[in-house]
Amino acid sequence: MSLTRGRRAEDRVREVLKRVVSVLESGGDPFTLDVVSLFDELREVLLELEDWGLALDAETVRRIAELIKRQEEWVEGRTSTLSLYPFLALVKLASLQPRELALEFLRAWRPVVSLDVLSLSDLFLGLEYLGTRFKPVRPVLLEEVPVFEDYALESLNLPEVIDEAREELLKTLKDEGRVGYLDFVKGDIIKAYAVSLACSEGEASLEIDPLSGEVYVVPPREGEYESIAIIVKVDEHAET
Amino acid sequence: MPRPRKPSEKLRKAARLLLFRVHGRPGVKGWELRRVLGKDYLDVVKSLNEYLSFLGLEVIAVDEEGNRLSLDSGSAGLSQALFLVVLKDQLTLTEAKTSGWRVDDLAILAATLLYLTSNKGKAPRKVVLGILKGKFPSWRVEAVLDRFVRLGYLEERGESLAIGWRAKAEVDLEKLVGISKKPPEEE
Repeated sequence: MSLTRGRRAEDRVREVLKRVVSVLESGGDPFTLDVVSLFDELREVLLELEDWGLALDAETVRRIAELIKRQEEWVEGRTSTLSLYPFLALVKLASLQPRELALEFLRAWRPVVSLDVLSLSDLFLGLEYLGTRFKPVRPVLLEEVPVFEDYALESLNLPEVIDEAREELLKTLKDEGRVGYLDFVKGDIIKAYAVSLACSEGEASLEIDPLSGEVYVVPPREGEYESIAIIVKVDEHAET
Repeated sequence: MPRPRKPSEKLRKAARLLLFRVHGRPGVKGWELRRVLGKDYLDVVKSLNEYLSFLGLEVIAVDEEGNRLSLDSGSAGLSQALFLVVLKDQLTLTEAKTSGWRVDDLAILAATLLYLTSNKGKAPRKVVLGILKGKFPSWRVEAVLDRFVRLGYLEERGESLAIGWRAKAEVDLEKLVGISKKPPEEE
């Protein structure tokens, strides 16, 4: 048997040992390693091992036995806790306030980190999409405009109500700089109309966060105007 | 803590592959890393982990369902795995808000995951909506759920909602369910 073959076999055993020890020391899920395939790997090189290699092999087998014991304990522990999980989850859901829920979530959350890039083909795909979007629009006839029965418009002093909403918006913008569109509108058509009016008259503008898609109302800005549609309320009848 | 040496070209290449994405779904498959970095790609990933840990980041491997896999599972076992870079440490509420997350949205996701966990990972959408509308403004819930489905945190299966691959990859659901003795510190 050549020295190199013996050394190579020894290296493979050492590699298996390293993996087992790393899982044991991490204290994590002992089932991340497949015991059967570990033994298969050891069996493959067993005949090529020399004295020191055999000692290493014995140590590896001892450590795998330790891993199996850890697996047994882990299964026992999990069986008892898993039966309580549904109950614990419901208790937590019922007892915590939204802010506390968010804090609990942050404790358990390790979000993916990545940066968006755009390939040339994606860029062309986007241009193609935009090309198909801007088609001539059929004029809307007055009879087709939906009537929102939730609002008895005749009973409202519409200009006054809209002015109030607009003033509230401008005050919020002055105090906070910007406000989430949905936070301000809260499904209220009058407020949605007031935002639309303020934007049309150059008193406010909209900003869309490119990552989250969240729409914000901001003070008026320089630049070209474009029209966007926002869903205000999803209900039996869709209103925009 | 020893100062890291300048990373090799292979490490820089691995970082570029893992951190930049073009498609909606983040991460790189094991076989893709192997093709670009060579057969010792797992060693390169582990070395990259040492550098990333200085920045509070780490590379993890998950299967198609989002379940975490050990980087010690061997290169053959990880060829179909998805490699992702995740935060190693907890985000504070202020940091999450600065990154564009809303407290309400995080709470809605937490509540949905808790309910789905209590229901073996899946529940009818209508039922989930009913529970959420009892706790959050109803005008917001539906839009937020749709957004989390798009992001992969939730999965739509017919009329039901299930825990998505991304929630399994990013959220330690056992930690979320477990009642903590000590409330987390807030910045």
